[in-house]
Amino acid sequence: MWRDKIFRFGIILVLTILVLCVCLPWVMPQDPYTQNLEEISQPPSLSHPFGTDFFGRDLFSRILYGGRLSLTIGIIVTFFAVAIGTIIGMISGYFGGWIDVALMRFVDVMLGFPRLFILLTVVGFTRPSFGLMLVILSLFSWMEVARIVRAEVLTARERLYVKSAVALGLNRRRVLFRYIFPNILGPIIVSATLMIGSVIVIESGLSFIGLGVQPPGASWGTILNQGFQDLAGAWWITLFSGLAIVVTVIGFNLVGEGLINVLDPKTGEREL
Amino acid sequence: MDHLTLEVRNLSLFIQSEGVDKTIFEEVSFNFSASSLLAIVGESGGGKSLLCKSLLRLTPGNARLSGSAVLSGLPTPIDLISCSESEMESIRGRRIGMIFQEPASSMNPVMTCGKQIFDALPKNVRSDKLLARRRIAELLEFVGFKEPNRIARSYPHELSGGMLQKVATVLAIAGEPLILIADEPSTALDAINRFELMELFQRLRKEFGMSILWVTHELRSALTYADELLVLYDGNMMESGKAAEIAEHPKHPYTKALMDVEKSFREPDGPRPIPEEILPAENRSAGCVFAGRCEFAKPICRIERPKWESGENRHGWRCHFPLK
Amino acid sequence: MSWIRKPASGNYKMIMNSDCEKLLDVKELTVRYGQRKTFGLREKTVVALNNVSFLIHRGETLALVGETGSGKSTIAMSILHFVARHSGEILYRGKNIWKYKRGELRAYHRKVQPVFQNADESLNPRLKVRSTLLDALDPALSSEEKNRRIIECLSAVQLNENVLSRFPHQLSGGQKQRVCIARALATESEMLILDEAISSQDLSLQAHLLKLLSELKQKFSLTYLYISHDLETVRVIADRVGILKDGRLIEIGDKDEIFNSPKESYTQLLLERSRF
Repeated sequence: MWRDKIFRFGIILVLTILVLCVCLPWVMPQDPYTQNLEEISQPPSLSHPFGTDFFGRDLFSRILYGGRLSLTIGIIVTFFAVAIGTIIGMISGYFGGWIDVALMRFVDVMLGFPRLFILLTVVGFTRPSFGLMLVILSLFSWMEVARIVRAEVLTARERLYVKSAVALGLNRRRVLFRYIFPNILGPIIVSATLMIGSVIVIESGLSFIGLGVQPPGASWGTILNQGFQDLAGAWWITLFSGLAIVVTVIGFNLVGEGLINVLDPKTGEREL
Repeated sequence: MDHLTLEVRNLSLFIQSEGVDKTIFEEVSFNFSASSLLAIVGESGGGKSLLCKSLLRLTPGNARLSGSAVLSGLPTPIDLISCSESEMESIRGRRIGMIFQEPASSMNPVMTCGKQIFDALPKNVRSDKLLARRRIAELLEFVGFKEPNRIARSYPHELSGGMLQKVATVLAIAGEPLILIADEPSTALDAINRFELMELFQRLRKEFGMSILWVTHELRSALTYADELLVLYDGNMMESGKAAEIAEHPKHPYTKALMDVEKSFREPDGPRPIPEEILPAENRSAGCVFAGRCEFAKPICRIERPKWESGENRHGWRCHFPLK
Repeated sequence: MSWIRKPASGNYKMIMNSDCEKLLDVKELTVRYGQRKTFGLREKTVVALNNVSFLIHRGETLALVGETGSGKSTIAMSILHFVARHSGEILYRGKNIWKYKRGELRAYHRKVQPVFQNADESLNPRLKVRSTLLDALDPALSSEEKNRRIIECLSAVQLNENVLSRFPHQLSGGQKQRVCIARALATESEMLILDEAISSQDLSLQAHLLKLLSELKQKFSLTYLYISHDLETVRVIADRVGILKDGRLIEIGDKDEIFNSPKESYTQLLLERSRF
């Protein structure tokens, strides 16, 4: 597994980001919440490697603190969204018939929902909390995965090795998990790695309407949004928070790509 | 009409996997002149199909080609192995057409056959819609369709395997190439369609002076239709020459063995395969690649790779002990 | 009770006279593809099979010959219960397979096993040969029993034990096809549906597999439905031959009858154009 270069590089990248975000805040001398009104909107310098924001807070520390939140949200939401999407997509694609029709109409309904409206309603009726945001994000992110998985299952179902497995008298669960699932894992992994990035960005939108992180708390998305207020003047805010997201997405993508290689029997040695 | 000749010299293909170069075929040489039918015969996995693809440089990304394949008859001769990608694009379809074994998978399922043929026509024909339509009908009629317009309107899934292979042939010749490469075109066809396809090949040669490179695993039909023959085993040229001569006097034991297998299908005891290799491939030393299955093999066959020997009439073979 | 079974190969007429046992009875089978209503409009339908009826007796080899698109594979898929829309009946030992309950269908599937043309496609690329064969075995067997069966099936198709730890892509074309046959045997099947099972192989391998198939037939008292476009292999293996054209079974009879005095002009042409 470790022999695969792409996988190795991706893992190193992702681990570096994780370690930085988890450990460094304790070591960092600068407090991400301390406002220093004498150092408002300073460009990158030795004392503030990423510069400061509109309140004079050290951006490097804020990005590291924000990373904890963003990564937690990105990973947890992606995990649940992919899990829900995969299960619904597999059931829909494999069983077909009215189950398929019902589930796919449900997906359409979910996609067609005025998401913002629902979110505002939720915000209006409940006290915003981190857990609630995870639940809502997960519930609104699985549909694309479900569609992709369904399409993949529909193709895989017609494969002769799946037909052969059915003809062996294997039960449906075994056919699904041993013959279909391992062979559609590639597209699932790809959509999962892409989703991490988009979830991190979507979270900032939720923060904007008051459901996500509240000031003075930080996440990559909120910092990015903040930076847009003065893109020309304080470009470093957008640049570094954006870079953090991009590097994370690239890291997870490499891990995903490497994972596909490692799990491929033509390059690896493992049986799934 | 000008004529194209193709001269292939010492063509080898290696595919890199896990850091090791695997030889697919090596030192294949042949001449290919106007309106001839050259058959490449051999077992599956022997590199025949990749040989076809390498002439149009359709080999996979991790493949490495060496040798030369010079196409002359054009204003300037072009080496298919070393020419630029844009030169190659002007050759694919326009100078050299190609037919694959599975016509169904080489066609676009959501386009009518007529539309696909239209796309394959040369630019000057395409610009005139009326001319193009007439040309499509002519081509379909040429390959033996009685209602060309109905075929042009059909989608691939509405046609049977034999009909599809004819449409695939039209696709390959629509760009007016002078060389046609056919990779096992008849393997999936039944006897009637196979016969019609071979008749069609003969007409293409006679009427358009087209030369055809035909890959097959059926030695018998190769001997019937082809005028030149090249026998490939495990990526090595075993024998080549005029089909008529090889039919009479095969020099290589492998050629003879293939003939015997085909004959044995009609024998009362049932078909007799060529014996399986005694030595596993990994342990094979530098000797003749066929030595492990050869009934005439002597110790030297396992040690020393035989040299290519030439006889009269361009008949050549690679064997220490050629048959009389 | 294998001693009751009649010798599988040889003169099938003898079997017919003694105890003509119907294994599979296909009655007026019609299969259409693409019949669907969208916005109240009926889509174009393709009739893949048109009123096809035939019988397969236990121990015989029935060959069905036809070109691509003649409905050969649809017959295989119908018998394997993979075709949804149809009319007509397929009776296995007198019982309609489309009326089976789930458990019965599972048992039926284990008795009637397919071997497809494309061995590459018929093996799960993610499973090693051992797992592929294990999946085919009766799960109730003990693990020693399973191992014994696997080795028995492998040696029946003349494969070495060292293929067990390989993935399909590490096998040659002939080895893959033999793994498929071994898998079909591992379920203790009665009947194999050989859908162009050897057609795309080269001739020496075809000869090899034909020989293997006739040995297996005798050893395990199998019944074959041999589907092919190639008359030469049909001549070697078949007891009876049916000719398919455009979804219809136009002629069916004993091998000698079809090969020596065909009635339909299509069959005559097919024989005339044959390879040899």
